[in-house]
Amino acid sequence: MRKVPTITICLAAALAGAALSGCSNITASEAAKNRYAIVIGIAQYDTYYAEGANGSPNLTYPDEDAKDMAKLLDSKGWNVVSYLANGDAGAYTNSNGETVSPISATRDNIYNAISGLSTYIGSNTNATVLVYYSGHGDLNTNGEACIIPKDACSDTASVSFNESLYISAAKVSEWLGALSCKNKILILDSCYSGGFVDTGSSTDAIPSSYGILEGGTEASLLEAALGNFGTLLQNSIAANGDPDVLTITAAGSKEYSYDDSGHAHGAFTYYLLQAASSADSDGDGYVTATEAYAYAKKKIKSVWDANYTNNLSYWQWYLNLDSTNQVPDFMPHISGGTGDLVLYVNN
Amino acid sequence: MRSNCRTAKIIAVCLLLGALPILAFAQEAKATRVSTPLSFRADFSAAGLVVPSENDLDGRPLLAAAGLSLGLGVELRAGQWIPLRSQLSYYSTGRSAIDESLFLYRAFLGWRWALETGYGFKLGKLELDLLGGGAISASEYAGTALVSAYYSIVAEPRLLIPVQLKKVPGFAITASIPFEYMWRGSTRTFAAGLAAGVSIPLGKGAAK
Repeated sequence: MRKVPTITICLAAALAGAALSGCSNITASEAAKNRYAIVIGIAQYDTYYAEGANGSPNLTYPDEDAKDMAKLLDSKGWNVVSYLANGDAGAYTNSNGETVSPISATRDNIYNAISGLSTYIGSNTNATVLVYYSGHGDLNTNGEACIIPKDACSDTASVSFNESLYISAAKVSEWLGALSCKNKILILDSCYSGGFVDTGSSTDAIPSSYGILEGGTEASLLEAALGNFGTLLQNSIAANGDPDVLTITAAGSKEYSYDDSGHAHGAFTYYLLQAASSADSDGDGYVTATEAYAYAKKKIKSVWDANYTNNLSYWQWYLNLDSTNQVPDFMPHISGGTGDLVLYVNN
Repeated sequence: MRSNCRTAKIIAVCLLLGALPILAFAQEAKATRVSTPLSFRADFSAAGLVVPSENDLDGRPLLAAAGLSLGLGVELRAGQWIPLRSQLSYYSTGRSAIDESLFLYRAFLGWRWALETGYGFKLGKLELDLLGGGAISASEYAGTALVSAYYSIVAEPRLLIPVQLKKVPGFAITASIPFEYMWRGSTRTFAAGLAAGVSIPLGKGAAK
């Protein structure tokens, strides 16, 4: 009897094993045992202005963003351990029937929430943490992208922010880096949030300020690759690991993100929430972070941005640029790396 | 520094493997003092692939994905030798299986250009070609605008099955098992599958 070569058996076994490896059918409640989320939304800053009032730095919808995101994550395989919000959105009822009231999103509370994740993670390096933020973002005097906690605004008639209380991208990276788990997701719906994104060995074909009257539109694969091929190949050869944190941001590093009064949410967060039910392209019960991002990006481009680029008012806007010289079209960004994480468990 | 040394070694091995058939062909031609006729063939093929990936540096497990590719190739033939084959492929790999911590590898797609060399063994009316070489690829993670480039080594045993067609003398159907090993940053990806296609001779008197 002829023997099948050993190498053939090994190869076939490896392929079969690899093909069959991986888990399916993890339910949301099972997933929540190892996945911990912090949700932050700041509409009301420490000024004497009312939420959303004209001339104030206060926003209208980030607190609703945070509340709805907390409720959604709670039902989609996450244990929401901290809910920090300032505004009038108030408490919500979680999947255990408990009332969860927000705590104030001060700088210290945000730090305590993130560092407190280590208590939940313990020694489980396969745990997953998620931090979601909706609120103001800014660039500090060093040009670094930052998020702005509630108490970074002076309690006077002035609308200026206290930069010393800003939380920079490097600081967030440091706080998350102190956690021992491998899986980390950061989602930001704020201005200049693209400054938090690490593209790893990839290049991002979306400019940092998107729009035909600003940084341009998205380059094609071949255009982006051929223009940078040597650098991209060198980056790949350098064999650095994937970025530590899988980051999704509403906007580029040089542009604003916006509240959408038509949907009573941040424009980006509205579609990110929708992605839970609309972005499961293969119907397997899981929506990955990349799938959710791709869905939100497509919607921002085809709905929000198209409203400006297909509209005469876009050109009127251009001719009457305001002092910020920003047209309200923008594009979400996501970090690089070969890896991805499930964001929503629908099972 | 270490990865550059490793890369240099890999490229050197590929060049050596690629040079061996050419050297052997030159030696044979010299020994027999017979001029071996040169010819060209073009081919088109489609492949279904199993594509497992692993990332030891980041402590990520081996997880498999499914993929497909479409390729267009041109090769120079000198008798049984194939001194040079160039193939341009479009490929698409789906997202991988999901591990217990709900980690997975992203779907990616893009273009690949491979240069190979090889030798064909006559098996009656059939021919078994053994091809090997290297490739460079440009890829994009599906649904994003993140563009990457990477290199890989490729190998492919390919069966040429001649089919008598009056209008296309030398026409053949191909069946092959493509293999590819990719260096994608710190992630290592291996692809293997089954491909089928067609091959036709190019130019006058090029029928095999």
